[in-house]
Amino acid sequence: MIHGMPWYIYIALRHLFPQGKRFPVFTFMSITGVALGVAVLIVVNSVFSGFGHELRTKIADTYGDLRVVNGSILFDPDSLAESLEASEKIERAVPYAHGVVMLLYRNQPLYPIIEGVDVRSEAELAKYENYLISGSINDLDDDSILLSVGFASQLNLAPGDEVDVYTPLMGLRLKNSGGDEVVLPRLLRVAGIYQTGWQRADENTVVCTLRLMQDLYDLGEGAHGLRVELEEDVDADGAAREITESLGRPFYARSWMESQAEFLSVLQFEKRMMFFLLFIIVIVAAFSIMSSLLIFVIRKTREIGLFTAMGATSRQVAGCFCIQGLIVGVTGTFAGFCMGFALLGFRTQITKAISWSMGVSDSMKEIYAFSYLPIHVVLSDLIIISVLSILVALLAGLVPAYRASKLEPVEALRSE
Amino acid sequence: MSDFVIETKGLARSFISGNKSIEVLQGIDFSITSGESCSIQGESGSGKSTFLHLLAGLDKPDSGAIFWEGQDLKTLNNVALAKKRGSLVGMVFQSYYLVPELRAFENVLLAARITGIMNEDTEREAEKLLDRVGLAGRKTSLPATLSGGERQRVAIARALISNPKALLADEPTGNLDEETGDSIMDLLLDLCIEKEVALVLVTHNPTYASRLDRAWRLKQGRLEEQG
Repeated sequence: MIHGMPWYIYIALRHLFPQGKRFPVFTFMSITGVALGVAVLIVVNSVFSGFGHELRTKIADTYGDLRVVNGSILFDPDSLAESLEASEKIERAVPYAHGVVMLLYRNQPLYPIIEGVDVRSEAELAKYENYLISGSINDLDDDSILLSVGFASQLNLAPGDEVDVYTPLMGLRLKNSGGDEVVLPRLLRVAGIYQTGWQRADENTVVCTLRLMQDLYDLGEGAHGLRVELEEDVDADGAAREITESLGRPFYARSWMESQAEFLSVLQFEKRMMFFLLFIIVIVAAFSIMSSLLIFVIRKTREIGLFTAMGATSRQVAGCFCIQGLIVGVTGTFAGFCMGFALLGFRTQITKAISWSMGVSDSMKEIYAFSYLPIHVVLSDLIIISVLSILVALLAGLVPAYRASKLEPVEALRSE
Repeated sequence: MSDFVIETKGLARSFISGNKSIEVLQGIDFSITSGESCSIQGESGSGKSTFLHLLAGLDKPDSGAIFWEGQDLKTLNNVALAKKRGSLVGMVFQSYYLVPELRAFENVLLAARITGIMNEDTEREAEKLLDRVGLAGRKTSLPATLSGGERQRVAIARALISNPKALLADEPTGNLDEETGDSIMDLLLDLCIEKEVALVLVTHNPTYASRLDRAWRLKQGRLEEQG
């Protein structure tokens, strides 16, 4: 026995985990209720964070950590890139150009966003190579393009197919010539089809070489901006602010988070709403703890009178029942963590089993471009889940504790 | 300090039943010294248990005063009263009131835990007390596996673990057969003499009452000393 342990903690433990008896149903049900709530919160939060993390990674991959623009054309992007790369926070800075084109295939026009990437950068190419689902990155030259999967499926295009591309400059040229000039579209071959998993990038984007973009948009050696990749663990927002300050107007650096602020806030809002809705499970569990403890207080009325007769104060009696709520909360939270992490550990098998039992294929791959269920365990989420769950269980113990403390000892001893 | 372990002066207690006020105790003067024993007899409903609860400071009188070693209980706040009760008074009940989740040994130690005197010596003392009440071999037994007499022995050991000055026993043999009741009484009296504890015994049994130093009877709210 632990000599120093206050009697009310000792009795609380004995009430919950009595010796020589089977595990009490009340204890089991209360702990299981909290554990299930915590486990569901951990699983859903981690999966939500996982999806968010994957999407963020893909956005950062396609957008770059940040982009530097000057509102016009950078006529000497290489020297600016070189000066930025001198910073130890920056891994690389690569010129890019983007715009809108009209793409015609079998008389079907579409208006995708076109992005020119600097193929001198192997890292840039490697990034797109990772996302290719058909075709080859080696086939990408100044007469070819990579199509996003949504776009390719819309027009039923495959690598090797050829499309006509019109740029706004061609229209301008036609207008300026007064109709005398014949403007021919640029015939481009489909080198590959990619899928990043980020819906916006996969919907209607076309990737080509920077040289092709310079040609289509008449940029010369210029670019629309620089795509900057930062060293690991460098805060993109902070780095963007620093670059903006150091370059001065009209240059402006915009982080991927700032560029997608609306989308990211929706992701965050969804996660918070899910947390709030699922936390109701823990609250329901807390009510079950409260009702069980209230019944327990009634059952133990004479015992409460006995404690008082032996010199216990009403505050200590209250503490005894409050601590039972706390112990249920702590144990339930711990069990919930074990359960939650076990579920996360077997998530692939579980999702496969669900797909198999429902007779559907691996549908995640089609929608999200990853065949696994992504998870991202965020420490702050775990702390919030555990603190709130324990707090709610503790609060559930307060009502029974108050009732116990208000029992008149004489009445308690006389009760049957 | 007063010679009396417990003393009452003009103690009165009434209860409301419907529209009527029932005067259970009226102007009771009572005192007991260390090592002294006395019995309280009376008919059912005469207020014996109420009187015992007042002596234990578990109930408050309508008027009059209760003194523990000369200290008026009215001067103590709830926490001080609880603390003083734990060290001064031990109680034994008719229905034993053991904690079912605790083994016999742990039940005895519970009083020491609540009083805050728990240490290794207390554990040794609890073992000695259990030996003394004849339960050396039942220390690890749960109350459910003990007989009525054994449970009452555990309750007596529990009441004495904190070395109280007074033991208040509310019909401790009421639920026991005659033979077991006799042995419990023998034990109770022997232990109180050994430890010089003042014993207030509420009983219906005149034989037990006659074995104590003084005998009182509660009748119509008044406490009368028997000859």
